[in-house]
Amino acid sequence: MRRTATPRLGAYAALVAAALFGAVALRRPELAALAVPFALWLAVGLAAASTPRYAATVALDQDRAVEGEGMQLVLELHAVTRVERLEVLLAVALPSGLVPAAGQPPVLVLALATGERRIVQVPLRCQRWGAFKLGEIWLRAQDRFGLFVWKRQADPEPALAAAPAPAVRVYPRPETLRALIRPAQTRQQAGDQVARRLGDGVEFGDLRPLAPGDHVRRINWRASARRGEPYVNQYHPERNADVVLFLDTFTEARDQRGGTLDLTVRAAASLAGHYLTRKDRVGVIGFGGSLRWLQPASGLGQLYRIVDVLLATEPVFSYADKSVATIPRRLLPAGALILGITPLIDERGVRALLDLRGRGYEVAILALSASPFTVATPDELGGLAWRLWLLQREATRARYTRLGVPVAEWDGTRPVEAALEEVRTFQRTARRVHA
Amino acid sequence: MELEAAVAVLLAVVLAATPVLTVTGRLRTTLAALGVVAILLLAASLAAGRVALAGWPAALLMAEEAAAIVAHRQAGAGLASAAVPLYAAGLLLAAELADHAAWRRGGAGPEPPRVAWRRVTDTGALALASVALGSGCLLLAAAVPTGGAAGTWLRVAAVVAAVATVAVVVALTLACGGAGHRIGVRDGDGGGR
Repeated sequence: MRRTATPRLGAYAALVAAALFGAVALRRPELAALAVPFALWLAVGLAAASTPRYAATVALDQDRAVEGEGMQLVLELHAVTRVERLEVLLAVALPSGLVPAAGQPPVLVLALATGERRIVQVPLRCQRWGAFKLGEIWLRAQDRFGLFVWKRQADPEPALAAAPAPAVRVYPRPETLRALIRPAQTRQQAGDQVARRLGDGVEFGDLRPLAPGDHVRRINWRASARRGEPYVNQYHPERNADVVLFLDTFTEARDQRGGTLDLTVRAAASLAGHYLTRKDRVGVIGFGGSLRWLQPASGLGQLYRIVDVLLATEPVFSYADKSVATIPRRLLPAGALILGITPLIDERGVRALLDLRGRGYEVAILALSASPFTVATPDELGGLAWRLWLLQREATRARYTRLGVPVAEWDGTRPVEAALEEVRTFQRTARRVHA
Repeated sequence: MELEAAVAVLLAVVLAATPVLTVTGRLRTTLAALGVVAILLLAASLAAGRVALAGWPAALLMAEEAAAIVAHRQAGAGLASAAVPLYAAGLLLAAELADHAAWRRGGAGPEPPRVAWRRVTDTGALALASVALGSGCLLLAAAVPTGGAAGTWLRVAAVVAAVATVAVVVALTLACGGAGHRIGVRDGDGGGR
């Protein structure tokens, strides 16, 4: 515990000294009388000051939460001696994604009696997704007359202190999705996607004449009666698919309200969760200054792995001219749907998605609108640059569309569902061209 | 919080006006200017929530009163005023109120009632005690003869006491390293994404 003086101690002592010197120098006893209250305060305060002894342990009531939810910071205090006034400095300790709940002051003031044990719960709000480690909680004890401050850190709970990984995970807020982008090709394994080919399933696909080996219950009696020979129903089987979330992390547009990376993570987590519940295999490629990936797999475990990768996602600045050739082949299974989530800012990310389309992959793009996070400078040149930039984005979108790549823009204010519907509409209406 | 700040400023205005009313001529203007500076400094420290600044207005107000006392003496009067201990107690109250208002302005939560009550009673009791002690000092000063050998010894004792006080101030300042008392300073992020 470190003891420091408050400004009050220095100020009052200086006032006392000045008044006493003045009294002596000017031979005016009234000046000495001016110093009396401050001298009395110092004398009583210094006589009463003693080092407060207390134990403090800090912990969080949960180690994971969803963006926007709350959690509690639990501070356990045990006073060995009387603590006249104890300030808990919260703002210093909290990482950027955790803030005190509304109405919660950044500094708590407490008083502890000798031997008192107290558990203080401070409500926090998870403001932004991420993986965080709780900082050091500083406690500041003061003597009765505010002349000294004893500052120390709260001891973290043993489990919290020993954790090598970030102690708190704040997951991105999930978006509501009722329908997803349907992959053109499916795998052999059973799933929830209605395959385009015919086979065993429940979705009606086509009619064909009865062949040896067909079940009698498959005969379509109405069609058979019309055509004069037995016809059987054919069905689309339910299969799973490979979906690769391609995150363009070269750069981001950001202001104090958020940024395109937040939208990227929120959309990717929602899409991954929904595809995985449909038994699809989902992989992630973080394509930017550094390459991060997760091989396609299915199941709840994969969802947690994906979220962990997303929480660690951040734009890494790089001049390196990266291409899809740097992506390991196993990350891009044949027939996989590549869902590009990109702010369309960096040409390398734009080019990589075009390249994937050129290699025959089915690509759909969720273009994150950077406009809400950028402002044009008020002068004429700034306005011109702003309009040119918007035109350039439009041109990029047109390039994708010409190649049969559906592009939908999402700015975070409307549901991502609406953006996906644009992609689905494109898929329904676009004519497939094989080069 | 706002009430404490308002009372502190009001008290400072009264304290600044009191010496001005006791002098005349050019000194009155000078003391008035000094008082205005003290009040502005107090208001600034309260607005900024800077506790470290709250001591300066008290120093300026004390200087203003000291100047008025000296001027009173030069005019040939005896002891300046029996109200000096009251003035000093008011100075202490204004400084304490300003200090606490500036501290609250820094984002601190509400004090437990026990702490607030003790602070109020401690300050009040010390202010009252200081009025009594200050008055006693003035009475003693009026009663003790300042001439002759006794007066010389008295002055020597006063010089020694003043030097000892300065020594204590310097020792405390060096020992404490001039650490501040700011609230809400962000030492650094606890972690990252």
